Amino acid sequence: MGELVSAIVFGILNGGVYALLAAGLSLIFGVMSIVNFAHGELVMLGMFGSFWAFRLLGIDPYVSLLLVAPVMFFLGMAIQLGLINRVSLDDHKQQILITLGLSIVLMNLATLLWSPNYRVIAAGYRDVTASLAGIQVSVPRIFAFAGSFVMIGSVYAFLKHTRPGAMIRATAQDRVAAGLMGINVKLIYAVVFGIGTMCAGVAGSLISTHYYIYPRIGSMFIMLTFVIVVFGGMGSIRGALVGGLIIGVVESVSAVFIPPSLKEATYYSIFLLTLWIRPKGIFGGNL
Amino acid sequence: MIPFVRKHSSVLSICGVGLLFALLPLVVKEGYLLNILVMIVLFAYLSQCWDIVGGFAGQLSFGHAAFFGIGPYVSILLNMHFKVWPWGGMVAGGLLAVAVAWLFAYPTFRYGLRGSYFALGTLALSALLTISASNVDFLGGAQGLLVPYYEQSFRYMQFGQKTYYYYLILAFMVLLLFFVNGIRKSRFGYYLSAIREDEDAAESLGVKTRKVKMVAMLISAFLTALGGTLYAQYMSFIDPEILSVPFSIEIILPAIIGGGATLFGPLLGAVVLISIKEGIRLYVGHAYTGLSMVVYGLILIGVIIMSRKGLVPLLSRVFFAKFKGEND
Repeated sequence: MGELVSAIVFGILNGGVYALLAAGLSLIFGVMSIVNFAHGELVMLGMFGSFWAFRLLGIDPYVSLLLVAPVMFFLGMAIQLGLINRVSLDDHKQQILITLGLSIVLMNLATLLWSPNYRVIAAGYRDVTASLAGIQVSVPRIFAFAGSFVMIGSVYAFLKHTRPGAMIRATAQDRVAAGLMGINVKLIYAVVFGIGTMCAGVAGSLISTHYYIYPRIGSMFIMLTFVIVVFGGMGSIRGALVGGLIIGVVESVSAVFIPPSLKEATYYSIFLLTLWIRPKGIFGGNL
Repeated sequence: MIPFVRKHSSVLSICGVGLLFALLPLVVKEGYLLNILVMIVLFAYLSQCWDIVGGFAGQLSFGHAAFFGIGPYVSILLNMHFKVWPWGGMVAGGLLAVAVAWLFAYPTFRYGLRGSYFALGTLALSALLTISASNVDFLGGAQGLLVPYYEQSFRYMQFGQKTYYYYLILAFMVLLLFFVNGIRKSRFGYYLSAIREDEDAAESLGVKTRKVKMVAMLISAFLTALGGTLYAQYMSFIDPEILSVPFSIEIILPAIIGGGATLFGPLLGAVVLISIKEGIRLYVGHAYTGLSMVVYGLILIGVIIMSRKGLVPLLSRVFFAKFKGEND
C-alpha cells in the first residue's frame, strides 16, 4: 500500500512536468495546426542550457532557468520567423517536415558537439528528500512540479487575460478573420512558437537537476508528449494539464505492476485507441 | 519520331535510367562502391513505395518502417521453420503487411484522421511494432533474426556477389517505376492527386476518398514489405530497429527531398542522400555518422524552403526555363 501511494505521489510530481511539455506542444498545435517534431529537442536544449550554465559559470539551475526562458522564447520566435513562416501557412505537411528536419539537426548537432554521453548536474541538493506524511519525496522533483505549475498558470493567464493573449486566441479561431481585423498573423505565430519553445526549455531546465542529460533524450520526451497531447486533446491547455497528470500517474503506478516494455506498449495502445475513438481527446476543442 | 518520343517520354526515360543503372557495375567494381549502389536503388525503391501514399495521396506516413519490417520477419521465420523460399516468404510478408495496413487504416480513415492526426497514428503503429518485436522471443527479441544460409542460389535469394543483389533490387525498382508511371496517368492517379490537393473538394466531386486512400495504403504496404525481404536477404540479418520511426524517416527523406509525387524524385533523392552519407563516412569516418544526419536535416529544411516540392521540380524549373511548354 505504501509503495502504491508513493508511486502515485511520484507520478503526480512527474506528471506536472509532462503537463508543461504537453502544454507547449498543444499551444502550437491549437494555434497553427502543426505538430512540432522538434519539441523533444527543445527540451534537450533547455537541459543542456542549465547544464553548461552550471558547469562553466557555476550558476544554479534554478537561477539559470531565468536565463533559459527568454533565450528559448527568442529561439522559438527565430525558428518560426526564419524557417516555418517561409512556407505557406496552409501547407501543414511542409511545416511539419521543417520541424522534423530541425529535430534531426538539433539532436545530431548536440551529439557532435557534446558527445552522446550521459551527464548530471552535481548540485548539492540532487538527492535531498523531504518526508511528506511518511513518504520520502525528492526535493528537486517537488520544485520541478511547482515550477511547471507556475509556468502553465502564467501561460494560461496570459492567453485568457491579456490583449496579446486575446489576439492569439482570435488567430487560433480564424486566421483569416484575425488578419482582416488587423492582427499580424505571422508575428502572432512567432510569439506562439516562442511560448511553446519556452515551455519546452523551462521544463528541460526544471528537470535538469534530477534527470540524466544527453543529446538523444528528446526522442523519449517527444513520444510521451504526443501520447499526453492526444489523450488530453490537441490544442487544449487544460487537456495537457489533466493528461500530463494522468499519464504521469499511470506511468509510475504501472511500473510497480508490469515490466517497463509492456508499459510502453500500453501507452501506444491507449494512444491509438484515443485517436480512433475520440481524436479530440478528453478536453479537445479550445485553448 | 518526335511525336513518338513525346508520347512515350516517361516510358523511354525509365528505360534510359534503368539502362544507365544496369551499366554502372561495369565501371563500379569495388565492393564498397557497389554497396552504395545497392543502397541507392533500395532506398529509391522504398521511397517510391512510400510516395504512393505520402506523395501522390499526400498522407504523411511515419509508419512505413512497420510495413517494411513485417516483410522480412515473415519471410525469415517461414524460411527458418518451414524452409519456404524467400520468394514465397516475401509474398506472405507482403500480405501480412497488407492486413496490418488495413487494420490500422480502416479505423484511421473511418474516423477521418488527417494531416497531423494521421501522422501521429502512423508514428504509434511503428513504435508499437518495434516494442512488440523487441520483446517477443519468437521474433528474436532485441537481437533480431539471422537469415538462414542454405546455398548460393536464385531460389534462396542468396548470392556470393553484390552485383547479383544489385541487379535484383534494380529490377524491382525499374518495375516499380513503370507501375508508378502507370498510376500517374490513370484515373486512380488523378484521384490521388485530387485528394492531395483538397480532400473535401475531391469528395464533393464524387471521389470515394476513403476507398482510394485505402487502396493506395494497401498497395504501398505490400510493395514496401517486398523491399524489406530484399533488404534482409542482402544484409542477412534484421533487428527491431527496421520497424522503428527513425527508419521510417530514412525511407521518407529521398522522396521528400527528390520531390514527392514525381516519377524520378525518390531516385534522385536517394542518389543525393546516400552519396552524401557515404561520402561523409568515407572522409570523416564512422565517429561522425551524426554529421551526415545533420546534413540530411539541413538539406530537408533547405529543399522545403526553396522549393516545397523537392529537387525534381526545382531542377526542371531551372532546366526547362528556356523550353517553356516542352516538358510534360
